[in-house]
Formats: sequence, C-alpha cells, structure tokens
Amino acid sequence: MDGKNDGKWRCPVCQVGADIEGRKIHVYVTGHIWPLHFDCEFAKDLDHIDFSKLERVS
Amino acid sequence: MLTEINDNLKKLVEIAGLDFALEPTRYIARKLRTGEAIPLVESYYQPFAPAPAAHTFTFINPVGYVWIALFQSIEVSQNGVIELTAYLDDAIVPLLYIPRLVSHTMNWAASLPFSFVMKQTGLITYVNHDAAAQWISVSSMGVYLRKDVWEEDSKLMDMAAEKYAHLEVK
Repeated sequence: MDGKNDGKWRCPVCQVGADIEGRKIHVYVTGHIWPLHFDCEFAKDLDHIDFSKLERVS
Repeated sequence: MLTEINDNLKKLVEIAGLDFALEPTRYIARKLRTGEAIPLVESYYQPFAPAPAAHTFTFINPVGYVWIALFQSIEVSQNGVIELTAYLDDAIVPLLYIPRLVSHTMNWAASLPFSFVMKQTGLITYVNHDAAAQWISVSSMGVYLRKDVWEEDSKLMDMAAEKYAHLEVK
C-alpha cells in the first residue's frame, strides 16, 4: 500500500464506515453481525478491497 | 427456638431462590422469555492480508441495549500467527489479549459468568504476523439485553451478594 487509499471510506450499500491508514483498516459496525451483506468490500482482506466500489468520505 | 429455626429456613429458601434465579443461563433464559432480551446467534469470516496488516472492528450496540456473550468459538487458518486484542467500552486493559491466537471455544456464561458484557462498544483488533494471507472465523451466541434492565438487575445482584455474604444464622 502506498498510502493513496488512506482516509475515511464508506460502503454505499450498508453505510458501514472505515478508516484506512497504511496496512491498517478500522471498520465501524453497528450491531454484532458482520458483514451486513455478502459482497461488502470491507469484509475482504486489505489487498483485495476494490476501492472503486466504495465512497471516499475524507 | 422454633421461631429461630423457621427464620433460618426462610433465609435459606431465599438464598436458594436467588442462587437459582441469578444463575447466568437461567437468568438469561428468563429475560429472553419475558422479552427483555433478544437472542443473537451469529458468525463471521474475515480474511487478512499478509503481514504487516491489522484489521480492527468497533462493534457498537443498538441504542438502549447491552450485549452479553454466552459462548464463542474461534477458528483460525493457522495457529500462532494472529494477535488478538479486545477492549470493552472504556476499559484501559483488554478483556482479551492473545499474542499468538489458536482456535478455541469459550463458554463465557459457565466459566466467567457475566464477564463479557458490552455496555456500548467493543474494540477488537486482529494483527496478522504471517507472511501469507490468513483468515479467522468467529461464531458466537449472545443476547441483547435492555440496558435499563441490566443496570437494575446488576444492582440487585450486588445487593443480594452483600446481604448474604455476611449473613448470621441464629
């Protein structure tokens, strides 16, 4: 990871948000069910997340 | 004499009744039956990128509910390569810190009654220390219990414990 994806992201389907910093991802989930839908990008490992399917928040 | 025996028997019956009612699985069963608690059985599968990589979750309870873990099972793709740290609410020490995680099950309700009670949030971090990608699967049985009910019942449990811990039998 070169840091170009660092920042806050959101899944447009479930509205789950995540912070990404280098090789770290922090996902915020309301409730205890994860993921909220089968193809949520945040449920993939960091190297396989398709950021084109996510919304950049900041 | 008979009055004293009768009084002592009443106390013993009361203690036995509390012991029965507050036993964790019976307590939860009763709360489920009355609708004050909602069962939640869930599992998740989470892959991790090769090291160095960290995946953190903040789980946030629905407003007005606490979450009580009763039973959990964790399976890992490889033993001893994932570091797990879990904090509850604003705790400054982790509930779980396992530097080299292995697959295991935890019967929280039986082994550490009411020990895994998340009042608002839980912060769980997995760090993959292996050069290869890894995964984890977590299954848990728990309940959402109404926060006001839990706060009231916790007080009652403490009051009962305080009362009977120093009981003098005549």
